[in-house]
Amino acid sequence: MDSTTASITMKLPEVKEKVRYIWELLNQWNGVVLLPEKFDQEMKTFGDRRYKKTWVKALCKFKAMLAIEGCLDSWMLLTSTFDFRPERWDYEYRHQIFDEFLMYPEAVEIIKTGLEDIFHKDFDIQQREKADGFFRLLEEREGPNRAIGFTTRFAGEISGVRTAA
Amino acid sequence: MLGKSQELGPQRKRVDGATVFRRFTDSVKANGGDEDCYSKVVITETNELFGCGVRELYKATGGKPNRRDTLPHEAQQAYMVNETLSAYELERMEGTIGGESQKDVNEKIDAVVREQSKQTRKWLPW
Repeated sequence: MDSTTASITMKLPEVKEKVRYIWELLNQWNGVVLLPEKFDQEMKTFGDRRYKKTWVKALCKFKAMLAIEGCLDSWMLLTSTFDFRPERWDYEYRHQIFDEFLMYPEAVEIIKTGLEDIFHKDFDIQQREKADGFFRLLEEREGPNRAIGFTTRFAGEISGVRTAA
Repeated sequence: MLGKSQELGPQRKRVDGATVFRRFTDSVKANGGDEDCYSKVVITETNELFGCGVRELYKATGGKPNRRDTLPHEAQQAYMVNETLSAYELERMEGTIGGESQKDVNEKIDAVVREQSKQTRKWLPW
């Protein structure tokens, strides 16, 4: 098995818990108490809540929303938010989260400016390496099945990733 | 003859928004915060300092989305002040923030940033 392949699969109760948590992060405002009914109402829009796939869909949608809403600097998206590493709890859903993120009209522009920052500003190699998980994600997406596959990287800087031709 | 004059002094660079933000996120990480926590504290400080979300702030001020250096100087300064003070506070608390789960830890870090942001907001003219 490839070392970057997810080895942990979340069970339904855990997925539900994560959905609720990310939803709370998105909706808390000045410590206001969140109404459970509001959460239930929103969850209904994702489909039949008896199925795990419904919750996974919500999870990925909310994670993508958190990525957008909490992104003050584009580069942070690459060096932290989407620096998917196997030990992260959301690793198994990385492609689905990224797919949801790409639904936002500004998504590609954010990635573009993030890449400009990490390659052209005063980023050193150590800081740039923090985006390795993001580059691996793109590497996995190269090919006919996925729409986006960047080859913008410096040769030899990312271990375990083949360099662009 | 050159002797000590060849020794290099401390390597320092001009502090900017990115430098301050890196130290802030480092302090979040040092207290056990994860990637979700980074996003959350940014949302929290933006809510407290400006009364809106990050996307709204860029839209309302005509900044280029997700490019902090295109925000009005007042907004950039407010973030720098708040992230500097929040980082000091989180560094002071290092090793004291615990919890039964990642969620607990993230919430405690977020509470520290929220409290600091409320204090910072009082000093801002808007």
